[in-house]
Amino acid sequence: MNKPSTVNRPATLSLLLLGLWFLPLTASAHQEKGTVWGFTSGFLHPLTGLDHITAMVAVGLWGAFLGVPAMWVLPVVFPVVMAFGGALGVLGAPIPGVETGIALSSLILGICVAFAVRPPLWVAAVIVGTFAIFHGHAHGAEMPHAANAMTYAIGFVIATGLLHLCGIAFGLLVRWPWGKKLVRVGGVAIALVGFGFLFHFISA
Amino acid sequence: MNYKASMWLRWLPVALLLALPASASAHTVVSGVGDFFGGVLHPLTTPAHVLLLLGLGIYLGQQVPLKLKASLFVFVTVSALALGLTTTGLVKTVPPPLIIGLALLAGVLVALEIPPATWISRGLFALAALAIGLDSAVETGTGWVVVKTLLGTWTGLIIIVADLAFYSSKFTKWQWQRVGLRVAGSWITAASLMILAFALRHS
Repeated sequence: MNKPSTVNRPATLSLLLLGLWFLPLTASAHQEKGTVWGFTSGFLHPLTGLDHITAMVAVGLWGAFLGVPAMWVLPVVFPVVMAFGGALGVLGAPIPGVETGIALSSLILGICVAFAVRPPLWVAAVIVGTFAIFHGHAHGAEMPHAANAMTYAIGFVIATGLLHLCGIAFGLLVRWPWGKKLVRVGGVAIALVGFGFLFHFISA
Repeated sequence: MNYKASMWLRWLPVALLLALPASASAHTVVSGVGDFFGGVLHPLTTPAHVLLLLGLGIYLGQQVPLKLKASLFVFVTVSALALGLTTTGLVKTVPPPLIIGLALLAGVLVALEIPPATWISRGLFALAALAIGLDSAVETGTGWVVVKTLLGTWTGLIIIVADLAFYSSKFTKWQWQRVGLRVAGSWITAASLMILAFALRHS
């Protein structure tokens, strides 16, 4: 009688493929330009700054905390007003204290989430919209000259929207008591990041 | 090993294979697919067209119950006329802000989920078809090549809008689905607004 094999075939195969996955391949560097470069550049722009990321996630978190209809009004309002700010940035219209405004956005929105602040919807929309102008201005003004403007705009709007969705997804935990605490802790963390950036700008 | 674990292990190699890094083989989307299919893919290679078509498709699909006939009839007819006009050489290009402006309008309508007045809806589709059609002139080739490419573009435009409308209409049952469509509308609006600003800066 054959001895039953002790080898787990799927597991072995998986491990082998895992090893294959980590094999180093030659990097095929190529110049990034044109349509794809514009999209990549725009998509990565909101993801390369912690101040941007925390504020975007905070918008989603706060929206989820406030519940329907704020949960979807805020992520609809934010990109449109942000694009308005972006347009001002592109056209070279100066807005004072953009970086400070961005840092403040993380601080204030983080505090709103941490303390579960529940203002009327229009107040929340005005707060979020005001900060959106600063974020948009930074995106517009910092667009690389080599990038394709059209795909840059599409990329950064999509990245911003996805960050909101991350915030909303995390914020949906508020339906459980432990989740509510977790979301509020997230708000504290965002506020601290915002405070750090604000402190940095003030002391610089 | 339980059933779930074995299923995971069975699919793990496939997932890992899909995640294998490979060298990029950059090429244009249209090259090598022939005149007709090159035409079909043409609307997808122009970001402004994509933005406008997305707006139109979602706007159409957002309306419950789905009524494709009237708006699509306008779109199909006017786009055919506009593509035909490109062969005369009377209109070389369409100013990008016009196409983006229409995308902005479509995005706003989707974001606000405005019940459409018939004339707004048909007017938007007519203008969009005219703008995209006139902006899709075939720059190289003669005779049959041009005809095949334009026929492909016309087919592509219709397929894209009709498909987008059909699949968007599948996302109208639950409130969160409708919200998702409105968020998409706000993204189209935002991107269009930015692109308009870029166009203004360069003008």
